[in-house]
Amino acid sequence: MKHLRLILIMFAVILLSLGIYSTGHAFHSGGVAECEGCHTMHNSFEGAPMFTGYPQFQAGPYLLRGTDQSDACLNCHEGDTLRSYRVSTPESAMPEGTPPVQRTPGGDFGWLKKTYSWVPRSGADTEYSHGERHGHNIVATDHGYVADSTLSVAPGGSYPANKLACSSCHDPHGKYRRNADGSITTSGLPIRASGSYNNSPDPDANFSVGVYRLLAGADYEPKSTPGYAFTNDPPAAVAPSSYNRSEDTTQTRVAYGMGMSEWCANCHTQLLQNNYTSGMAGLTHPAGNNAKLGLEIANNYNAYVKTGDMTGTAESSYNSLVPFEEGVTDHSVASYTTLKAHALSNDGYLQGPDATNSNVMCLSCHRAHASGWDSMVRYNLGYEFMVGADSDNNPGYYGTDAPYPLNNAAGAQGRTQAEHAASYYDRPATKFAAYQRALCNKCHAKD
Amino acid sequence: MKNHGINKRGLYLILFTTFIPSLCAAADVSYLYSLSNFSGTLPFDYVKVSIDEIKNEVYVIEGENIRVFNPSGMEIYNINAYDLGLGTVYDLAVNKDGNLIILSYKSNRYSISVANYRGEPLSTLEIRGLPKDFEDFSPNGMILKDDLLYLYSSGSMRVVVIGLNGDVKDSYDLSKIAEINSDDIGMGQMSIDRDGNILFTAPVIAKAFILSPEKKLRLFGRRGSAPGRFGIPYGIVRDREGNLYVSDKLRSCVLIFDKELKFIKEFGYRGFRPENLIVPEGLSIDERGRLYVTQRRKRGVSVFKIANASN
Repeated sequence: MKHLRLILIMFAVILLSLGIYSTGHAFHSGGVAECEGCHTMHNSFEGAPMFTGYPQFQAGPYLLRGTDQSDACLNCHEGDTLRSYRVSTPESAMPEGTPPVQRTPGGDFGWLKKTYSWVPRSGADTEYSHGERHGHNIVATDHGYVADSTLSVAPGGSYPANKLACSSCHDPHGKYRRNADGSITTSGLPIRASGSYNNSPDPDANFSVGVYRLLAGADYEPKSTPGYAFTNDPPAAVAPSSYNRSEDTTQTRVAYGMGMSEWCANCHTQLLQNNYTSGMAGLTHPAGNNAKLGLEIANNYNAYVKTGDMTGTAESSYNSLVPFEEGVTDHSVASYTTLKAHALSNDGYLQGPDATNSNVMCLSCHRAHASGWDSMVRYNLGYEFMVGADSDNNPGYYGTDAPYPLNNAAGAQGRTQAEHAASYYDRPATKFAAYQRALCNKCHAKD
Repeated sequence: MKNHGINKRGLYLILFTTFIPSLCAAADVSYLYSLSNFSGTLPFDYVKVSIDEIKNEVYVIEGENIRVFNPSGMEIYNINAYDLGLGTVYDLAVNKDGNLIILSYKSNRYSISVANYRGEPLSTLEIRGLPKDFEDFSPNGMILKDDLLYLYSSGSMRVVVIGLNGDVKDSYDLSKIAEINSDDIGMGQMSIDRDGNILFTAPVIAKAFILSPEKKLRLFGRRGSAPGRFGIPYGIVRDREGNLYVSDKLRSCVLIFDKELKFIKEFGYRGFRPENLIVPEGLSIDERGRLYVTQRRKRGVSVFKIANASN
C-alpha cells in the first residue's frame, strides 16, 4: 500500500512536470543557449544513425544539427514575416520584384539572393547588381547561402570566404560578457541576460550581461577556422528594444558608442583608418574610434536635411541611414546608461553628432549583414540620384514598375519601387528631395 | 486497493502506456514520392501547400507562382499570379465551386481574390467589420474550413475569421491568449482541425498549442533532442483520427502524437535518402491520409502515406 501511494505520488509529480509550461524566454539570454538547441550528442536513434553519411555513433561536424554552423542559426533566425530575432527572408517569400521582409539595423541576408540586371540606356551593355555583392556571404547550405564567388578572402584581410558563417562574427556560445567594472571577459560572473538593449539590465556585483549582439571578442578563434584569432573586443553599442521594424514613420536608432570599426578590423584589418590626413595619398576613408568628425563634418551633418536643404538643426538631425559613434570611451555602466537613453525607435532622441567626440565608423556607410545595394552600403551609390521625381516634380522612388519618368532604367537599376523603398526601410520618398543625391552628402554636403 | 479505486495492474498499465507510448499506438508511415513534373522532383524550397479536398489536387504556392499537382503528385498546371495582376501569392484555398481564393500582395497591400481554376480573377473579397484593434491587420496565411475563411498573421499572431461574403465572424489575438510576446516569440504554422480547433506552434519556445472554438487553450511539448521532444517545432496538422503531426526544423523530423497528446513516433531525419527530411517546415494532410512536408535545401515537397490516418 505504501509503495503504491509512493508510486502514485511520483507518477503525479512526473506528469505535472511534463505539463508545466515555463513562460517564454529568449533562447540565448546574452550567453550560451541550451546545448541541445544546436547540437546532437550521439547520432543514434532506434539503432540507426540520425545523419545519413555518417556512421552510427559518429555525429556530424561539431555535433551540429545543421549542415553547417549558419544553418543551425537560420533554423530560428530566418522567416517570411518580420520578427525581432530574424535576419533572413527565404527566397520564395521574396520573388522577383518583392523585397526581403526583415528590417533589422544589420540588414536582411535575403538581399544576397536578389540579383538585378538592367540596360541603362538604349544600346548600352546590360549592367548587373549581383546578389553576392549585397552583403556578407555566409555559407548556409540548407538555406541556400553560398560562399562569395569573387572575393576569396575578407577585403583588407585574409579571413577565408568559404569559412564565413554567423559564428565568424557572433560567438554562438556567448562567452563574452560585460562586467560592472567595464571589463569584457570570457569568464567570471554568470551572464544574467542580454546586454544589447535599452531595457537590458546593467551588470552588477553579482552578475554580468552579454556583450552587444553576442559578438565575439579578443582571442576568439573557433575550431572551425583556426589561425584568424580576433584582436579586438566587441563594440559599445545599444539597440532599442524594438529594432526589427519599418522606419516608415519613425527611425530605429542604435546608439553606437565606440569600437565598431576596430571590431570589423578583426577581419578587415587594412580598412581601419583612424588618422586620416586630407590630401594624403595611400589612405582609405576614415573609420575608427579616433576618426572624429570635426567641426566641418559635424556642422554639415547637423544642417543637412536633404539635397539642397541645409536648414536642419543638431537637435533633430540624426538619420539612421548615416549613423555615427558617439565616442564613449569605455564599457562602463555610466557609458551604457547614456547609450540606453539614446537608443530609441520613437524619434525621442534625434540629436546629431558633436565635433569633438563623435566619429565615423564602418557602419556609417555599410550594413553589417546585407543591404539592397552593392558593397552592402546603406543607400545607392550606383547612380547619381537615390530618389527621382515624378511628373509633378515630387520626390518618388525609381522602379521598373513605376510610372514615367520614375521608370528610368538607369535609376531603377532592375528594382521595383517596393524594393527601392525597402532598401531605405520604407521611408516615404518625401523624406528625401526630388533628385536626392547620395547620402555621402549628409557629411560632405556637396549637393 | 479498493479504497483507491484502482488496482496495481491498472496502475502499471498507465505507467507503461505513458512512458512507452510508441508501443501503444502505431502510425504506419511510408514515403510515397515528392511532388514532380516530367523532369523529376521539383526542388521547392520554403513553399506553402494547399489541398483541394474535392479533387484531391495539390497547390504549391511559390512566390508569384501557383503550381497545381494531380492526386499522384505530378504537375498539371502552372499559374503566374503576377501576370494576372495579383502580385505575390501568400496563400490559397479552393472553395466548393472549384474556384480559387487567393491571398496576395501587391504594392504592399493585400487582397483576397476569387479566381477561376486558371487563376483569372473573378471578384475581390472585401473584409467588412474588422474590430478596431485589428485595423492594421495584415494576413500572410489563410485557411478555408466549413465556409469560414481563417486569415492569420504569423507575425502579429492574430486571426480574423470571415464568411465567404467577407463579413467578420470572429477574431483572435493568439499572443494574448497564449500569453506570449508576438515580437519576441511568434508563431510557426497555423492550421484548423476537423473540430474547428486552431493549432499553432511557437518555435522558439518549443511549444505547440491547441485552441478550441470556445477559446480554451492546451499546450504541449518539451525542448530536447530525444524522441518526442521539440527542437524547433514549426508545422502542425491533425488527421481525421485526431493524431497530431508536428514538424521539427532543428531535429529534421516529423513527430506524431495521438489525440491525447501522447507521443507515438517520429520519422524523417536529416539525410539524402528519399524518406529523409532536411529542415521540414509546413505540413498539410489530406483526407486520404497523405502528409505533405515542405522542407529546405531545395528538397521539394515530400509526400508520406499515414496508414492509420484514413482508409
